Amino acid sequence: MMRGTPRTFVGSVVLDLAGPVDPATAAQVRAELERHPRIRACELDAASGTLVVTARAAADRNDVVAVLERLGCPVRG
Amino acid sequence: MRAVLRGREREQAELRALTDRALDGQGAALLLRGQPGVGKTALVDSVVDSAGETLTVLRTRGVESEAPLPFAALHRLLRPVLSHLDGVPAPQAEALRTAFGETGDGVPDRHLVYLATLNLLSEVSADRPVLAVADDAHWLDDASAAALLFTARRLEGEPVALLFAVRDDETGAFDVRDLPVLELTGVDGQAADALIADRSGTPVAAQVRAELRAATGGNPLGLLELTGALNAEQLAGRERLPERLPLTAGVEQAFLERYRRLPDETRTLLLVAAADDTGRTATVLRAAEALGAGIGDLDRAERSELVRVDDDAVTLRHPLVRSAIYGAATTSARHRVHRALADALAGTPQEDRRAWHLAAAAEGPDEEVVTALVQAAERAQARGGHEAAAAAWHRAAELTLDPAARAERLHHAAVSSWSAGRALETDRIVRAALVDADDPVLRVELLVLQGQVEWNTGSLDDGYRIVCRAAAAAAAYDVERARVLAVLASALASFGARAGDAPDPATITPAPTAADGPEQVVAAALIEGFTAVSRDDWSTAARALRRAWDTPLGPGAPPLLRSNLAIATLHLGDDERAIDLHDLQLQQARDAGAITMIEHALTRGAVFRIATGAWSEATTAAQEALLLDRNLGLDELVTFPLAELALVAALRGEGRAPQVFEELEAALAERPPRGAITGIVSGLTHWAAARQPDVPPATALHHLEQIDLPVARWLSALDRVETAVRADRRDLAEAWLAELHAFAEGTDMAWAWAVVHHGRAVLGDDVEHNLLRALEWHERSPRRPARARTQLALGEHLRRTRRRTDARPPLRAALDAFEELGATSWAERARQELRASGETARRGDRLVPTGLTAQESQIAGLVRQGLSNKDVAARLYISPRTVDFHLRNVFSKLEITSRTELAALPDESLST
Repeated sequence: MMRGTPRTFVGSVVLDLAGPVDPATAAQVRAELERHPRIRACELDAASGTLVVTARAAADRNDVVAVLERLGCPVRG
Repeated sequence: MRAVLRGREREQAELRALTDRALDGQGAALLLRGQPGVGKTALVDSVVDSAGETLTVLRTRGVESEAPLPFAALHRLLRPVLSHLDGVPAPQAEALRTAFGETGDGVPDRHLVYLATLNLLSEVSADRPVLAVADDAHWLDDASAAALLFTARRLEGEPVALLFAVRDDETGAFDVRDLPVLELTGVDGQAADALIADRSGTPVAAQVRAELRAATGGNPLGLLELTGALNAEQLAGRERLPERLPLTAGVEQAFLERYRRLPDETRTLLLVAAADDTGRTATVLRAAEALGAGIGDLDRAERSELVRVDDDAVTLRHPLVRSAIYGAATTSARHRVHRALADALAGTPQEDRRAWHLAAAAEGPDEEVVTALVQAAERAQARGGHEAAAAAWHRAAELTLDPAARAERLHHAAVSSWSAGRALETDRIVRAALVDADDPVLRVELLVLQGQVEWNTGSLDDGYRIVCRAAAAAAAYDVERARVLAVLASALASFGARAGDAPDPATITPAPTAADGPEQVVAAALIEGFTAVSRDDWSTAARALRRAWDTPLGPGAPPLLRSNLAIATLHLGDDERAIDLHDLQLQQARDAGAITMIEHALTRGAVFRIATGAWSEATTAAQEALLLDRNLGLDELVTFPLAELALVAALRGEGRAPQVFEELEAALAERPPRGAITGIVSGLTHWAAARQPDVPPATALHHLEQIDLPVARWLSALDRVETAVRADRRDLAEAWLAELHAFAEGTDMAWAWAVVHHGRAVLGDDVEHNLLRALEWHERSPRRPARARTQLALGEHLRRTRRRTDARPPLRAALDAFEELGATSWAERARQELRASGETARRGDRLVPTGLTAQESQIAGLVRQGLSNKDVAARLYISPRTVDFHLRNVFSKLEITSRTELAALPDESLST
């Protein structure tokens, strides 16, 4: 689909970040995403760059990706 | 658009050269690469215009939103010539029709679709050479991209030119590492000024022209759009220019400004056109009308020059128009237009597109949307569009509220993704599924898939650990499934996988009872056998594996059991059984068109052919496997057949052995083997290294010491013992012999006893007696090279002990065998010994290299078997014209003129 096509999801999505994440950025990612009203939890394995985001209500994956890109953690694939 | 072609003379000449080569029957592919707006499409248009007289032109374009629609772009390319499909082999033609959704029987292997694409273009070019163009190739759907890249790499000898145009900032899944590239950069200053003048229609101040050239780097679209966005005062240099933006953003901004000046309804229509991927006026209008726009807005949009309307098609002026308009829309506006497009497509055959528009419009879980996506996934799967199927299943899961159903759909997505060869994506989807999966059955299947990804692409030990856990988890609810998974885990262990914290496969399930059927008996025997192999407990291994082989299986037995029965033969070196089972597997794989299984059976079967001295057959099999790997892009597998070819060349003492070995080393450096083949590839490689000409004993020994896998140690056992003795490491020779002795005692394999006795003779232990005992055992073994080496050793021993007459019979037998094998260096040694024994040895017919390439040799071999060019093409996954091209080279190099002459040549004539 086109970049920016709405991609609503429920449940969990696993995102692979392009490269490892330093502890300070990891903390920022957690804090920002968990502040999102539609996100219930996020687990970040900083070493492997794997992020599991679980939605509380239907959320848009693009919003999650936008937060990550703003924090300097682009998503792979 | 001609104005954009200012300053492109050099590039036009290069493109003409591409089409000229196709006209000469020397087809090739070319990648035209450059930034957005640099004029790729204009150049493509110019080559199409000039080629139209002499070539059949086929054209397609990648569309970003079409990524989930399998073979959509390929269908557009080939639709005008599908009437030629009758000339393509039936299974391929059928696969292509299925891929295009014209029939619904399912694509057995999508490589057939790739081959059909190549052969269809070849067939069309028989009437007139072909120019095939894929514009915006970075946005081709994955399945179309794979088919076109497959074709692009096989155009040698075809009157077909294939031209891809791609943006340099977008690569996607379009892997173009080995295609020639024509980089398109900005035009020079003179051409840039001319473009500015074309667009402005009034004189432009020199410093403004300089600023525009600098801002755009000579990018033609940038020059035209940024010039068009300036007012008269700015063009004349009397007013400041707007703040400079990066080129793409700047051009998009220029388009957006034009867009924002239009009425709301016209903007809505343009947003619909940007979100639409059909390009059909009727669809765009129907959706736009539902949102309050009308035909008048289409006229206004056309007048704005942001779209073109021709007949039934609405085309955005440039992809940057699409990205600018779509990117500027709010999420809710995007939801609305996708919903309108989905409604506009209701009741049309465009069900897949409709499903994806529904998904984009969804604001939360929606079973109607999920159902549409699931149906799209199933259609994609049937067409061989694994990536598209994975995407649709994944999207369906994202919109599924129930965790169990979500996990189930993610599992489907992961299976499809793995079928597409996307290891990382598969792993990511499996991990997402495991978050939701509560059903133990599903969790087991997810773990098995995760393990499979791991041992194939990551760590054998980690993959083993995961499969052991899956088997242990399955044992709680389905012992039969658990037992089959334990077979898999124990087989991995037998090839060296270890994980101290994993459950032991041997203890995961209880022994089968009398009530259990033959499948469970075979599974239990395989577990016992493989486990014993990993403990070097050879008597238990032999007993258990023979029990497994001797138990007949019904036709419904799990394929995993059958494949492991064949794999088990490797451990005991049961050559004849191994060849039978792998030949059967090969036949079944060929019948089913299962390409990776064909490769698997060829490479495994070749190991036993090397052992038994069927070296020509081993070479043929390894060459076919290598060609399949290369023709199909299975790069991760090439080291196995290459190691086999390097070993045969080294054993034969061929002059080109070092060259073949270098090729193997390069492949190993580029892509080391992973998973279960690692041990055997490493073993064969070290053995081949030790047998290179003029390798000092210490170096050879260094290589032989690094062989870990028992099967590779047994295959090279005689060389290991001989080399250790030559390198003054008798201790090592004795230890290795003791290891083989334990194997021989445990398994009673004749070839093993023969090598044990020969090895004792090498150590000086009752030489004649042991060599004679070895020959007695050889009588019961099919390993001809080992037998000939013992005959040679016996002859040498007798000659040196002055029993020259006694020496001659074994030396003659050895010479005959080595000559039959084509083992030149050993044959020469036997010949010298015979001469030393007083016999006038005949001169051997030294092999004369013909200079055939591997592919020529392979094709010649198959033609000699009576296969037609079409059959050879189907077997090697190339086109009949390519076969013909290589065959003509064969005729020329061998100085013959017919297939009959080729068939009459002796085998050695085909050596490369």
